[in-house]
Amino acid sequence: MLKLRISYKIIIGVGFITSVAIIVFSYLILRSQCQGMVSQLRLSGYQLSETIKSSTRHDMLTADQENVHRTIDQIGMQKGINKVRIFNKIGMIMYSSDKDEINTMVDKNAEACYVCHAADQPLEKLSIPERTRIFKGNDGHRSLGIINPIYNEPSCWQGDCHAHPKDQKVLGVLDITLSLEDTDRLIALNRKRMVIFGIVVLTLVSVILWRLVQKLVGEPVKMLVEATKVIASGNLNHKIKINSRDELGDLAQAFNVMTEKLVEAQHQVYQQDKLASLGRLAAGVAHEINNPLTGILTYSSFLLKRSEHYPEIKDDLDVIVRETKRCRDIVKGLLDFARQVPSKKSHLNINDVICHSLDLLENQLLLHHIHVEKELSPTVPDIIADANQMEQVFINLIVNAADAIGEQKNGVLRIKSEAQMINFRNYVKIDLSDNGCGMSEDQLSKIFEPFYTTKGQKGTGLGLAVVWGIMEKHGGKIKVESQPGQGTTFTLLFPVDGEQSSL
Amino acid sequence: MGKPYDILIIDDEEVVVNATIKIMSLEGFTVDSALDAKTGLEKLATQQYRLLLTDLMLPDMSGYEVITYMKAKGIQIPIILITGYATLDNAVKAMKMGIFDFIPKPFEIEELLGVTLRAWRVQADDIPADPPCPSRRYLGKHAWVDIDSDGRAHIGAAALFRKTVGTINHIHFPARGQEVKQGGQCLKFQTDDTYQHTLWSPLSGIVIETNHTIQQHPTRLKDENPWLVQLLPSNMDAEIKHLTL
Ligand SMILES: Nc1ncnc2c1ncn2[C@@H]1O[C@H](COP(=O)(O)OP(=O)(O)O)[C@@H](O)[C@H]1O
Ligand SMILES: [Mg+2]
Repeated sequence: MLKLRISYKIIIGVGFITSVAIIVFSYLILRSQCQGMVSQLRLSGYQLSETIKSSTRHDMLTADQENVHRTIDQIGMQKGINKVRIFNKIGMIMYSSDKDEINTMVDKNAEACYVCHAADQPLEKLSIPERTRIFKGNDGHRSLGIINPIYNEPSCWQGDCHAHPKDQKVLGVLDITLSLEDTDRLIALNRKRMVIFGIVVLTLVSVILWRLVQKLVGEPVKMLVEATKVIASGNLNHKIKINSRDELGDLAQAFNVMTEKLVEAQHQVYQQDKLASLGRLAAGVAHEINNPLTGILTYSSFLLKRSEHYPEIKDDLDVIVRETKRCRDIVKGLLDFARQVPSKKSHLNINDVICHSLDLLENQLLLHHIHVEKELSPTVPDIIADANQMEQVFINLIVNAADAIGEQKNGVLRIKSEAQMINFRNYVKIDLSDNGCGMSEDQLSKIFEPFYTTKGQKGTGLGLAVVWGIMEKHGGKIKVESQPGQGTTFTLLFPVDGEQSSL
Repeated sequence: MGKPYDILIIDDEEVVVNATIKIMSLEGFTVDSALDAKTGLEKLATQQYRLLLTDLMLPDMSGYEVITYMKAKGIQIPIILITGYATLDNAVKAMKMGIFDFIPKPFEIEELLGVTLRAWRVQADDIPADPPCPSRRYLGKHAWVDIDSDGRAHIGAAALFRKTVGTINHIHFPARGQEVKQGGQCLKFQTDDTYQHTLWSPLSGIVIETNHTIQQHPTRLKDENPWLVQLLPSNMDAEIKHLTL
């Protein structure tokens, strides 16, 4: 199958149009040039014949045949002039630069005579173009013949030498033949130049066009085709380098955006798929495990109840019951994880979230005599986050701060929000400081671990673990600084507009 | 035919059935059992029981169908659904259908006996229904939630729970900032008979505050109807459909 590339199609099309234009154009130029040169020549030929006529007039009138001959010979010898001759009314050649011709008769049907003698009655007046003729001479070159009738005039019939009858209008004809050899050579040269010019222009246009099409269409399209193939083969990270600002550049840009979206969508589907299948797996496993666990738990609890009086088995049974409950909690944790609702992210103003969280906890803060200092920058940009999870973060942090302050009477909780630029990316930064009990280095390293708590029965040790998880999910970052007895500052960083965090 | 059984349990797991029979014997309850729904429904049609325990996932039928069948037949004994943790939302739906309570597997002796005794007391006492309240929604006849204008939710125990639970020794409250799930554990009650009772949360959300007064005086729960936990709901619009007025 013949598949023509766009570039070839364009080149063939444009090349065809250009060559037609060049051919027509050169033809018209050549023709008008040719015509111009010939008519120029006609004019100068006519002028020449008039000059000959007037320069021989005197000799004619005085019948000085020698002089006429000399003049005609001299003129006839000039370059570009083939022949100069004069013949009389009946066609006898009276004078000629070609001596052999003299006194011979011209054929009335010959080119020189034909113009006038074609009609029955010979014409007596002729216009300049009618007086000239172009014919091919014996030497193979074209020639231009000009006839100039010599009219009768009073001095001719009044002269005493020889009597021309008074009623004769035309006495004879001056015939000059000019060579067109030079003109033809010039025309041929011009034609050759035109052809060369045409070919050069055509090749140049084609080459430039080819390069242009290649650069503007061929390469970008090739890149697009290759990118499509790469993406079809499964590599969604492929990006097209965009270096043009035209429609194809836009197309490439759109293509890149599309692949990005594709990656996101794929990632989401993958995540959801993974979570869904994990959920199903977990539910299935849990269902199967829960039944034997019920058996173990009830039977061991039973034995435990009946072993009140056997302390040596009682301790061992205690371990079984405790470990079975641990198994139950693990299964429960797994299910809780599998059941996790995907976060519902939207544009949020973090100040609103902070204020709402503080409102919700107002009673507790009052009860603990905690003074709240808000330094919320009104210009913080929105972040994309799950409102509920954000509130969970702040509630956990504020509650922890309140716990750290405890019964202290001069408790202060400072919350500060501001926009920040880190590595050319926009972040929203929140500082949450309390002047509570603070933490040691050792403690700091453990607080984000699940089930780590210093609050005994009152704590779960899950608060900060959950906060950490939520921050991870939002591409954010959490840092803590603390001095025992001085207080603690939690710093949160959220990327703005869902920009990927590079921290 | 001898003395009728007190309780019927329908579960396809023999170990669960046997464990239940053993546990119930501690309180002197007699237990009949069926390993599939068909046998169970036959037994329900021919014999009198005072309480039904049924698994949610049976080989030939779901627990829902058993509940629907009982309603259709007009058998009005309390039903306790045995579920897995995997099926919290199923449990919530079943509560809306009018079961007494549910218990997730694997359960402890104290949990099963706690809920069984509560169900048993339903028939002994005449329990007044909760007065209707426009801002209040119920999870079955088990727990209620009051939704404030500012989006806060207060959770309390319904009359049926409060009147049947017995004498409370201790209430285990969730920590502030902790997340609870609809149909998941919200509070745990310890009664003087050493048994345990769980109050399931009517909504998912984050715990903001707990009622300190009740924490210090758990016995007040019986006659007052106080809120116990304050919650910031996280999925109220979807979850409120499972609650009743
Ligand atoms: N603002 C704070 N000041 C001092 N210690 C804190 C602060 N926040 C957290 N902690 C420490 O980190 C531990 C873990 O916190 P968390 O995960 O919220 O669990 P919990 O609050 O249930 O103990 C706390 O028990 C406490 O020791
Ligand atoms: Mg905490």
